[in-house]
Amino acid sequence: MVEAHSINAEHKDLIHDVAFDYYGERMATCSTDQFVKVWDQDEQGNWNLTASWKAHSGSVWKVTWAHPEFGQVLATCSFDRTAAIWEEIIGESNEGGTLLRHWVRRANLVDSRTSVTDVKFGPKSFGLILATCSADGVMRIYEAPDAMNLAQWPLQHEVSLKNPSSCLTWNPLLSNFRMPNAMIAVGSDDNSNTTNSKVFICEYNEVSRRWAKTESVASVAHPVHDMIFAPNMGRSFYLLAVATNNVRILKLKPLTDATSGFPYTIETAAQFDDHYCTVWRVAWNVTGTVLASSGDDGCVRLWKSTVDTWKCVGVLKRDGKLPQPQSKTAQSTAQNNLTRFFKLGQITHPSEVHWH
Amino acid sequence: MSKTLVYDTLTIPDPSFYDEQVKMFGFWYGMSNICVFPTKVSGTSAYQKSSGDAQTDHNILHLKHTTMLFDPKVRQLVNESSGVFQELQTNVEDPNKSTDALFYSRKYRAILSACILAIDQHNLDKSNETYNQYKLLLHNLELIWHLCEVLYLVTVPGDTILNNLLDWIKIHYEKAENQASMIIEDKTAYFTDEHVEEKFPFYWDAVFGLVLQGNTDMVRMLLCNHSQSDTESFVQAMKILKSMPTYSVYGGLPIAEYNSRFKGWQSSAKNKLDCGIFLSNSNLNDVMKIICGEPDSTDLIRKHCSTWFEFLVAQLIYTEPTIKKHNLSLNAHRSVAKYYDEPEYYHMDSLALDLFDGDLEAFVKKLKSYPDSGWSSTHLTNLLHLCDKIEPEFDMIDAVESTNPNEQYLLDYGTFLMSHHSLWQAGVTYLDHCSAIGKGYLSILLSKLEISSDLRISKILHYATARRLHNVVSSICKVKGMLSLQKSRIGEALCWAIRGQDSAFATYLGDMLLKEYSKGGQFICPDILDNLGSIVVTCDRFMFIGKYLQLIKLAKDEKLSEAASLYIEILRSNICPKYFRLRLLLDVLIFLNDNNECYFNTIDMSLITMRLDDAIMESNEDERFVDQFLLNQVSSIRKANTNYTCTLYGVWKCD
Repeated sequence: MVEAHSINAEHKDLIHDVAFDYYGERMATCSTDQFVKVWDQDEQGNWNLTASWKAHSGSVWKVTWAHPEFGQVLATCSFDRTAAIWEEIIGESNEGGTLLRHWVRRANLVDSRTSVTDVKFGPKSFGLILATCSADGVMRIYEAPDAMNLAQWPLQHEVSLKNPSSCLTWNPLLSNFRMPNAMIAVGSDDNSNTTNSKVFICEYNEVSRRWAKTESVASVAHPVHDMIFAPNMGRSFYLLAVATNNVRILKLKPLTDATSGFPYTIETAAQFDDHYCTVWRVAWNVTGTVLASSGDDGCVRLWKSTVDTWKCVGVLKRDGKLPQPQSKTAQSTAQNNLTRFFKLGQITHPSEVHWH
Repeated sequence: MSKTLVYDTLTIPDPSFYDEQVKMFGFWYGMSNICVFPTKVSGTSAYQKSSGDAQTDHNILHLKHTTMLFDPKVRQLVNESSGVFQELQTNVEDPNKSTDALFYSRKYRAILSACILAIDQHNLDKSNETYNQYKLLLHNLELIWHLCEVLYLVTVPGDTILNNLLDWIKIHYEKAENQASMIIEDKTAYFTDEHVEEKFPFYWDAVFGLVLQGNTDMVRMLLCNHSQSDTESFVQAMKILKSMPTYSVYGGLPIAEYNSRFKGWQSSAKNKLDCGIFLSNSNLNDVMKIICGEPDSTDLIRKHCSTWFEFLVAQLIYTEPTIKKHNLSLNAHRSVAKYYDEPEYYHMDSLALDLFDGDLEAFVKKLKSYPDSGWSSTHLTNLLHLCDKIEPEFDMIDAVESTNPNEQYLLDYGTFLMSHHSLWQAGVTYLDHCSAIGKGYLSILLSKLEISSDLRISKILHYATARRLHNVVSSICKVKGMLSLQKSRIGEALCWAIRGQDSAFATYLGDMLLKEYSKGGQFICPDILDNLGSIVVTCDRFMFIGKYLQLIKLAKDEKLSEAASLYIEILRSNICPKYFRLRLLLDVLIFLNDNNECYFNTIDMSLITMRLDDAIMESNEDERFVDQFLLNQVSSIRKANTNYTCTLYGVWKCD
């Protein structure tokens, strides 16, 4: 059985991204209305808006949380060609006893000359490090030398990929195979030609102390809209999910005897064409075992790697019509204008969605 | 019973999805929840413009998966089975203890039965549809588990399996027996010559049910109760039932001998049937038809069986009582084909068929999709695995390297339990038994557990420490420390830094404390500073703070000579942070301004002067550390120094 809880995001325009903190208890949303909002879940599971501010002077594309070891920190990127770092400040409590929270801009990263399309914090083992990519195809690495000082974000590296970039993802690198180099995959949604590769792998070279593009994945030639590395739970290989004209799962396997060159083999571990059209977003669950893909068909599909192979374990379909309150399959109770709580599906019916 | 489905579709109704242009994007959050929101996608160039639908709502939907195992009434199943699981794993590792798979299988089943009972008690009037469903699910599970136990874990000498199958059927289909006891206990019918059929409309149902379970004794008792029990047909029937040979491995009869006896008994019964002895009562005649194993009794049997398992076993009693285990498969397939009009198998059917076929691997895989969130597949696979009934590496593929299915199930189930706010500790038990990869899972999942209450954190830290997951401990402590710091609770943050042995974070906090002290002349959290513990050894900053506090205390207690030697020690070791050096040197005045006593010798004085010179030089080089107030004090320190040194020399001159 699935319980659904609907809240009005109170954005005045399209929502572009929703990001959850490390524990899934805080939610940040961003929108074309140039605002970023932060929501907190209370003990009863209700989501309450705790902050809302105009973050940019253009559409805010992505919002992302830093690891909570670095405090309550957000990064955003926008059409206004900037990315920004935000930190939450808790002031004195007011008369009601609730703490006053507000977010202050700690840094504004203005190096891009075009829209910044994605922003992601690196794995916490690398310290407080941030990667951005922009529509002119430049991937930038920023780093806070002192993790306790969020005001200093010197630009450390720039890698020009010469292709309009749409998304990036850090390799979480938890493999015990050997100390690997930091790695970022950048995707391009360039639709002017469909022969060139659209997925680029960038790596940090310890010797030259530089980031550089080390590989293009030839098998992905259609525009890429989103990519994400699976959390590595002690596996000896990496899984990269790609949202392109289909859902693609690439497997990067380290070569043990590689002395030079790109030390991985890249193969397609799975490919799903069930969306029948463009796939816009992909997301891994916490253990990297179930992938959620969002397609142009309006569905969210869940893919699980089982003992056998990858298979679809669930589909979420949208429906613009609210069900009648008397309906058996969905009982909805309007709590107030903003939230709605309802149950979907019959209890323990075989149609229980097994997304675990 | 439920059909096997490849996947399931869930429709998300929300007015935000008002037309086809609105896409739904989905994300994972927390441990296993999904969030979906509506959005539109267009070419990059059109992005900037407002989409012009400011009036419509943009709703965000949070989807939470609730399952049977999370229900408070079913939770005992989870907790108790994790105990048995743990016990089983330790016993396997201990060579001195025997691992009796049957014993543990029964233990698991006992937990299942207890859980069904608990649900029943909570739902006496059966009005709660949810609990009715749960009960059915668990009941089916027990049935299939028991079948697996009968077929694979119970050792049957000679492989004649029927008696075991009968035991299985009797336990799970007890309706006929219950009805029979009701009839038998009611003595009035017997004494008053009342028509028992009229009083108990289910009389013949009970008789058939018992016949089909091979319970001839009880059938005879029922027949005795019938108003016509003294007629010739009933007497004959009871005679036949009484003389039915029963097979027992320990009865001393070889199978061939038994078979010929059984055949002889059946043919004599058939003679009587053919003579029409039982025709006076059509029901009795039908009963005898079944007992004689007449081919046309199949439909009769089918009518009185609620599932094909019953059907299969009932047929075997009167046609092949000494059937061997390996011949069951054929019979099972025949039974299921005869039982269902349409060739449509349900989940339970295919599970049972796999068991009869001897295909445990397929069984275990199908059990995985049973809607109990993996409870049964995890425990049963683990049990079968440990007693070597299934190969540890069946059906391995490259993609899941270094995990066998047993481990895969443990991982899935453990992860699933970890997603629950109170069952996570049971989840840890399962992940503990998953070799290296389990540790990877534990390390991520433990640090992802919400850290709402201090009690909970203590538990998590305890689990992490016991598993040497020090990275989890330090990560949780750092997160908590940062949250305290955000609320400006430096003392609390320091506690977390100490707990996590995080010397970098402690240094940062130590700096805050010292700077605060230079300004206000007081430490903000004296109680914590009094009990610093091992952090003074691991963190340089706190080594200094510890010494400095000691110094202040000695000075306060007027033990100035001890304080002075400590002071010199601090200066000599040079552990004082740069920004605090001038402040530290200012403290020299405590000793120098005391005119009654000499605390320092000349070597000490030269050290003090040297440190003072260094500190001033540093502050000249690096403006950041300069505190104007302290600089103003420098001259007074110097003056005191000079005076003091003169006095020292003066004293010597006198000598």
